[in-house]
Amino acid sequence: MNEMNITSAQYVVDFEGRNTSINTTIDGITMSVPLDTANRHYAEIMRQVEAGTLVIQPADQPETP
Amino acid sequence: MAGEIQVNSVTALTESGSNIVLNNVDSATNRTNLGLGSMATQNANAVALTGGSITGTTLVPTTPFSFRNRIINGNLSNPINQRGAASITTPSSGSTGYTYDRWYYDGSTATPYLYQGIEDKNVNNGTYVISWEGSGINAAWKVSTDTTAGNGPDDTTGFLSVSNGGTFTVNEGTEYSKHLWIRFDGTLANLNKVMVEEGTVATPFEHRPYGTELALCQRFFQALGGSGTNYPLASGFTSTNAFYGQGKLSKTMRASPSFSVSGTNSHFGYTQVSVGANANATPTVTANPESFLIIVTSSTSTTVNAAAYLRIEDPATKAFFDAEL
Repeated sequence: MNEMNITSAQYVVDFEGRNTSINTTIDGITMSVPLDTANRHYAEIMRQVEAGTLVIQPADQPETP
Repeated sequence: MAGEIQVNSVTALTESGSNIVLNNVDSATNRTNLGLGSMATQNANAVALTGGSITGTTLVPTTPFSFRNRIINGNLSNPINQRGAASITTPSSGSTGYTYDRWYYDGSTATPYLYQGIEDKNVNNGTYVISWEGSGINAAWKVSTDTTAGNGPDDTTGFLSVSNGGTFTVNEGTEYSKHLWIRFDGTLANLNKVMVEEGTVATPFEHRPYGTELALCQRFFQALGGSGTNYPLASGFTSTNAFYGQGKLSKTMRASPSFSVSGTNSHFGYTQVSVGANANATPTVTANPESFLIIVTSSTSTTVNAAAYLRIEDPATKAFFDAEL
């Protein structure tokens, strides 16, 4: 897998405030990425975080339905 | 003492050292005289069957009769193409990415290449033979656990060349622990009928039913939608300006998939009684390998806590769930 161009990353939380996924833009495509190490997008996000080239922003508080 | 029998001055049998040899007749004549027919011949330890059929005999192959091909979507003249790629070398955006199902293309390098990863759960130790149709193609293989940049198939280190019809051996300390990457370069448009199977002799390309091949692909990627103007995606409830729902994937996927929209966000519409609302941004999804939660925001106000359903209203828009290697 080539290095992905990740231009934004922000956690999403559930109603209990737990991180459940990451909203991100990868190679120009907006997507939701699960917190699963077997997911190639998540693996690459974490590789770039560990390399110090990407920071995942904390989540906004969820809307209460 | 050696001896012989002659018929009309022609030697028919010769005896020497307790061995009796038929003379002056070729093997075909001998087989005919003995009533053996011509279907099977044996030379040393190789038996050649040239016709007829075998009935009432149990055959025990060393490799499977079916599902021999570890490559998925290898019939590139009639491929599974959920992403709608224009060709196997045309990603949806940029010069790299998945094109036809299971096939990743990288056109950003001096030598563009194509690869497919065979999932670790299907990679046992053993000897494999690779075959394909098409001229001007080079192939290589390697195994690795990692798919991230610089560690997986984009890193040329560790790839070993293999010829068409050639073999290679996987021998890992822990079986089923690494993905097997098959990489091609050259005249990629010619590539077709790709097959990687256990054994040492390439067999004819295995045509699996189209539905079976699609199901195999959907373990890695699913495109939901594209079937008319009312594709139900999820059921749930509304808040003032959002929909919260849940949906099922059509197959259990390899891993929790990433979600993205192919098409137009506003084609995601949810309906609560008589009030309809359309997405004003890409939905947010939290998925596991079997199902997903989805949040769709809208600028249209709806009743709070009312039952609602979410649909894709235009066949040009699809929900992509991606669990590729």
